Amino acid sequence: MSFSSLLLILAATPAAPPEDLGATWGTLLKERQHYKVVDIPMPPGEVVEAGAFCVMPDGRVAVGTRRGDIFFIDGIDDERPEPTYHRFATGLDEIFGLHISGGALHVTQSCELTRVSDSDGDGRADRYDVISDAWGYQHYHEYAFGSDFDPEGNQFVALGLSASYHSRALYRGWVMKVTPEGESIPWASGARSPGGIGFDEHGALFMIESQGPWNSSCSLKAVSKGAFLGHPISFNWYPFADIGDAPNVPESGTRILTERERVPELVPYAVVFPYVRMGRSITGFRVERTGGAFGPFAGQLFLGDFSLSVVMRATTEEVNGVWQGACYPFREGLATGILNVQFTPEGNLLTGGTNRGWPVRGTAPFALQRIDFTGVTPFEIERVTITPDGFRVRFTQPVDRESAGKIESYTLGTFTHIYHGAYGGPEVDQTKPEVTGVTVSEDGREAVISLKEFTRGHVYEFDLAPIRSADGGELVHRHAYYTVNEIPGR
Amino acid sequence: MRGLGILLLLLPAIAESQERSPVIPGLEGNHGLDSYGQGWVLLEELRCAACHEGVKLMPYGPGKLAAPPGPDLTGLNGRMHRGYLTAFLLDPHGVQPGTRMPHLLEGPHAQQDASDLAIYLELTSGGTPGKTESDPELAASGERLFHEVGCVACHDPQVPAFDGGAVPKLDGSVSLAHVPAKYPLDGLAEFLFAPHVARPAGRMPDFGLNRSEASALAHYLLRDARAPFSSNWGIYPTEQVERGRKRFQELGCAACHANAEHIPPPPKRDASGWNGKGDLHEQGCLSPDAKGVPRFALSEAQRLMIGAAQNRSPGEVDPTAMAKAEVQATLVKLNCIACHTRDDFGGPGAERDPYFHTNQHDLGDHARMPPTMTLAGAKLQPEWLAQVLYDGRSVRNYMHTRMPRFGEENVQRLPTLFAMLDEVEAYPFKEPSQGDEDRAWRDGGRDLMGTTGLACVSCHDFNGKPSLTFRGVDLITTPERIQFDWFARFLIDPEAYRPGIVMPQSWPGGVAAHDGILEGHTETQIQALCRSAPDPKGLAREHNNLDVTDRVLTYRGRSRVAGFRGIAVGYPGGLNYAFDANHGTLAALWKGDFVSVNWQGQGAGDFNPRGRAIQLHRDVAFWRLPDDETPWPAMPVKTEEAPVDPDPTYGRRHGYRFLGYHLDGDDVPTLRYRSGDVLIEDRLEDFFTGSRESRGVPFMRRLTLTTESADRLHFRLFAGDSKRVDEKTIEGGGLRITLPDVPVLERPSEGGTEWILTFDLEPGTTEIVIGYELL
Repeated sequence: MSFSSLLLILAATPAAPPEDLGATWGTLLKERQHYKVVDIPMPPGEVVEAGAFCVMPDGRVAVGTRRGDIFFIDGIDDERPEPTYHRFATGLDEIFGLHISGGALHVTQSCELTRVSDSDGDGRADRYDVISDAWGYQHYHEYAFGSDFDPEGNQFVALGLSASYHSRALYRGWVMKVTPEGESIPWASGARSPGGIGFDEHGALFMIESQGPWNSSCSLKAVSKGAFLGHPISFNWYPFADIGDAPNVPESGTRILTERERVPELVPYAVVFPYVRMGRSITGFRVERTGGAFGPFAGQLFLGDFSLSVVMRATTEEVNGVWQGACYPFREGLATGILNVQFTPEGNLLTGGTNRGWPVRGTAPFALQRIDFTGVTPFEIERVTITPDGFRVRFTQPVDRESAGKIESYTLGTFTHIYHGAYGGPEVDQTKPEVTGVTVSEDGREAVISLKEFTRGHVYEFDLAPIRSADGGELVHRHAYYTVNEIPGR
Repeated sequence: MRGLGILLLLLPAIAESQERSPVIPGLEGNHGLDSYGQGWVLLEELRCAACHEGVKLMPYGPGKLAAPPGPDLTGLNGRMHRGYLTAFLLDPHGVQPGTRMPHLLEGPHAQQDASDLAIYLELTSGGTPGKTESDPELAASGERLFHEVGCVACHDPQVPAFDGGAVPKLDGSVSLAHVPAKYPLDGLAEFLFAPHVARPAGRMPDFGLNRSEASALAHYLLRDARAPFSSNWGIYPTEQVERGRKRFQELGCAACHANAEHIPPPPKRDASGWNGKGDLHEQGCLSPDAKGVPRFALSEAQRLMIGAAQNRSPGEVDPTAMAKAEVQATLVKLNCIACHTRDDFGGPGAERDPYFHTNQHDLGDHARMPPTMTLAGAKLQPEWLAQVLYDGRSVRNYMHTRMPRFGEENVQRLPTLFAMLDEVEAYPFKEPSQGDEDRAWRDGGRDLMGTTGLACVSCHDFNGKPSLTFRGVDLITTPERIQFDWFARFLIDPEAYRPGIVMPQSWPGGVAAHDGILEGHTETQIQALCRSAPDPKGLAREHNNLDVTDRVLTYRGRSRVAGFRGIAVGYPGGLNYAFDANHGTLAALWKGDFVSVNWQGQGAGDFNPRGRAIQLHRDVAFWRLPDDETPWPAMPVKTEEAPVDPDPTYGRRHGYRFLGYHLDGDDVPTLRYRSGDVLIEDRLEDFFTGSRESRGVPFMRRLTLTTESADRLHFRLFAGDSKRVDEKTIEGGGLRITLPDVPVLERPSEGGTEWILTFDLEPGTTEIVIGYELL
C-alpha cells in the first residue's frame, strides 16, 4: 500500500473530523530551485498567528493576528532575517484585513472595520474608531475579511455564515461595501465561508470561497453589486438591504450553468479550484506587482491554502461580461496553514498563518515564512486564456517546438460540479475534449490549441507533462485548471 | 619582504607549526575506509582531476572523478589582506598548515611572483578590505557560537568543554591559526555568513548564521588580531599587475580557482599513464622531492594511499557496493562523520564529544548528539531528507549543534543513494475504513500518546504545546518527516534503531504493553500512532491569562458577560469591567485578576473574567423613554429553537451607534458612542492604583454627553434585585451605585427594580459621574 495515504495530518481539535488531507503535489524539490522558503523568526514566547498583512509607508510590514495584535516588523526582507517586532496595537478581535489610509490602519476584525491610529506619535495605537459595524456577529465562525481600497476609497467586507451553515445574524453571507464616509451598503449575497477578498490585476473585486454547501470546491468569485454568490441561506436579509428583492432560490442538485438561467443574479464561480488537487481551504490573496522581482508571474493572484499549507496562482479574464480564469499550483511545503500572503517591499511573498482548529499539513503550530524568487526562472504554464476555438497557453520560457507542437502533448479533461446544498460534492459530467490543432508562437512562449468543441460550465484540466522547454526542461507543474463560464465570440 | 616579516612576527603559531601535510578532517575520524578508499578521497579532495585527465574514479559508477572547486577568488580583496596572501603564496603549508593549496612558487623569483600575483588578484578580484578591531562583547557571543553550533567538529576548540577541563588539541583539525592575519572583520563575517560564495565546494559548511551571529563569530576569531594589518594599498603598478596575470595563467591557478577575469582553466595533463606504475607515489606531484610541479606537502602515508588507489583495478563492483562506497566517501569528504554515525563508522571522538550540548539533558545523549544516518533513507521522507541536506531543516530545537548546509550540488546524490541502500521491512498497515474504525484509531492514537496511555507527551512536545517534563521532538512534525515503515519498526524496538535512546519499549516482543487502548492490538496501536490525532492528555496547559501590569489593558472579544462585541478593560488596581459594544451597555464588573482567553479550537479569543463578575443587563442603556410606563426595550433573545436573530437592528432602532474608543497616556479607554444625536463619551476610572487590593474602592464612571440641541435622554442605570440605601445610593447585585444629581425613575421590573435616570441636556456638554462600588 502507499503509505502516503497514511500521511494524515495531526489536528489541533477534537472536533475536527478524521480525514486524509490528500497527497502532496510532489513538486517541492523542483519548486525550491526557483522559489525558496525562508523562515521569519518570531520573538521568543510570542504567538503570531498572522491573518492579515500590510506594507507600511516606512517599509515595515504590519501583521495583524488571530490574537488581536498588530505588529510592525522591521527587517523582514533580510537574507537571513533577524526581524524586530514592534507591537503597535493589541486587544483586537481576530484580524483578517489590514490596509493603510491617511496614516491610519483600517483593520477588519470580527466585530467591525476599525480605523486604528496613533494620535500622539508615540508609536502605539491610541485611537480605535469604528468605520463600520453594520453586520451581526453572533457566532465564533462568523469571520470578517476586509479588502483593499477601490479607487474611490471604498472597502469591501466579506462576512462568513453563522456556524458555516446558517445566516442567523444580520448580513452573514453577504459582502458589504463600506464607503470612506463609513456608510455600509449591502453589496452581494450568497457567500458561504470567505477566506479573503480583494482586487485582481484588472481592478475587479473577487472573494475566495471555501468548499461546503452549494460549493463543491473552493473558488474565486467575482463580486459585483447585487450579485448572488451561490449560497441562498442569506436571502433572509434582503428586506433589510436596499438592493431589491431576493433572487429566486436555486434548485439543489442542478448545475450552476443551468441555474444561471433561473437565477439571473447568480454569478458563476470565476475560478474553480479542484478540491484537494488545488487546495482545501483557500485564504488571503494578493496581486503580484513586484516589477519582476518575484519572477515571471506579473499581475497574477497568489493565494494561500490553510489546510494544505501551499500557495497557488490564479489568473482572471472577463468574457462576455462574466469573469473566469485559471488556477495553477505554485509552492508547497510551507510550515503551517496559510491564512494570508503579502508581497514585501523587496518583492518576496510573505506567508503566515496557524494550524488552529482544523487538520492542517505542516510542522509548526504557527509561522511566518517568506517565499523568495531565486532568480532561476521556472519552466511553468504562465497563464491560460480562452479563445473562441480553444485556449492560449503561455509559458514562462520558450518551449521546445517539437514537444509543444504535438497535439498529444495536450491532455485535457473536463468536469463540473453538482450545484447543491449538500456539503462539497464530486466532480461529475467528465469529458475528454479533443484537441484538433496546436500552433506554437514564433517566440516559442505561447501555444494556441483548438478544440473540437467547448463545454460551458466545466473546469478544463490541463496536463502538459510532455512539453519541454527549449533547453529540454520539464514543467515544474504540469497542470492548470481553467473554468469555462463563457466562450468568447469570434 | 616587509609584509611577510610582519606576518611571521604576528603569527608565531604559523611559523612554528609542524603539521604541514594537507588535512582532510574526515580522514582523521572514524571513517571506516580502507587505504584505497582513503586514497580515492585524497585524489578528490586534493583536486587531482583539476589538472589531470584520466584520474581514476572511485569505485562508484562510471564517469570522471570530480575535482571540487577551489576557493572563488572573486571578491578576494574584501576577505584577505595582501600581506597574508603574499606570504601564503610563498609558503602555503607554512602559513596555513594543512592547506590543500599546493606550493607553486619556487626559485629566485618566488618573492616577486608572490607579490605580483597578490597585487594582480587584489586589483582584479574586487571587494573592499574592512576593519580588523574585535569587540570583546561580540567576541564573547562568538565564543559561545563557535563552541555550540558545530565549528569544533572540524576546528580545534578554544576553551574547555567544561569547567576545569583541558582544551584539547586534536589531530585532523583544520587550523585557524592563520585566520587573524588573513581576514578583515567584515570579510570574515561575510565569509561565515555565506561561506559557499567563496568556497563552493562546501567543505566549509554553511551553518545558517544570521548577520549578527556571523559578525559575532568573526569578532571572536579575530579577537587576537593585531590590527590594522592591511597592506592592500590601492597602488597597482601596471607592470606588476601584468606580471601577476601572466603568472596566474602560467601556473594554471584557474584549474582550481574561479576568478574575476574569467581566465579559463588550463588544459589537463593526461594521467592515464599512471596506471600500473608501482612507484606512482614517487612520481610527479606525489614525489617527496618534487621539483617544478605543485607540491602538496603530502605525508608518506598520503602518497602511498593515493598511488595505491590510482593503481588499483576495482574489478566488478555491484551497484549496491558502489552506492555504499559513494555514500561513505561523501560523508568522509564533507566530514559528516564528525557528528553523525552511519552503520559502523562515523561519530565524534571522545575529545569532541563534550562539545555537543543540549538544553534537554534528561533526554540523554540523543538530545545533544546529531542523529545517526544509519537507515536515514528508510527513516526520512525523501522530501524532508532533501530539505535537511539542502536547507539545514531541523526539528531538534533543543540541540545546540546545527545541521549545516554543504551546498546542494555537493550532496545532491545522497538522497537517491540513501533511498537505494536503506530499507526496513514493510509494516502491515491497512487502509482505514471510513467511519467508526477511522475515528477509533484516531482517538486511540490520542489516548496512546497521552499520559494515561503510553505517555509519549511526557517527553515530546505536541503542536507547539510543551511536554510537562522533557521537550523532545514535536510529534506533529512526524508525518512530514518520517516514513511510517521505519516509524513502526522503531516504535516496536527503539533501541534497535536508535541505540541508547531513552524511549521505552512499549511493545516488547511485539506485544502491546498497554492493553487498555484499541484492545491491546499491536498492529492497530501502531497504525493509530501513524495517523492524525487531537491533543493528547498530559500536555502543559497553554497560558491563557491576560494579566494587567502597570497599564490599563483593553481587550476585545466575545464573552458570556458582554456578548460578541465585548470589550474587557482591566486596571492595575484590580478593578475590571466589560462593555457590550453591540448595545452600548456596561455589562459586567469584577475585582481581582483580569480575564482568561480561550485560544483553542476554531474560534479565537473569547474571554472570561477571572473573578466573580457582577453581571448587568445588556439591553441598550440609553434611550428616550416615551413615558414612565413604557417598558425598557429588551435585547433580542435567540433560542435553540429560534436561532436567527429576531431583531437584528435592535441597537440601531433604539438610536445606538458605537463609535470606538481612544486611550489616554495610561491607556485608560474612553468609549465613544451615540444615542440619537447625543455623543456619549464613557470612561471608567479607578483611583486606586499600585495594589491588587481594591475592596471598597469604587469605579468612577464619567459620562460626557454632547449635543447640539437640547435633548432628553434616559439612561437605565440598573435593573434587578436592588434597593435604595439613601438619597444618593442604591444597592443591588453586589454593587453599591452612587447616583448623580438627576431625576431618577424607580419602578418595578422583572426580578426587582429598575432605576432610570433622566438627563435633560442643554446644547453643549454635560458631565455625569456615577460611582460603582463592588461589594
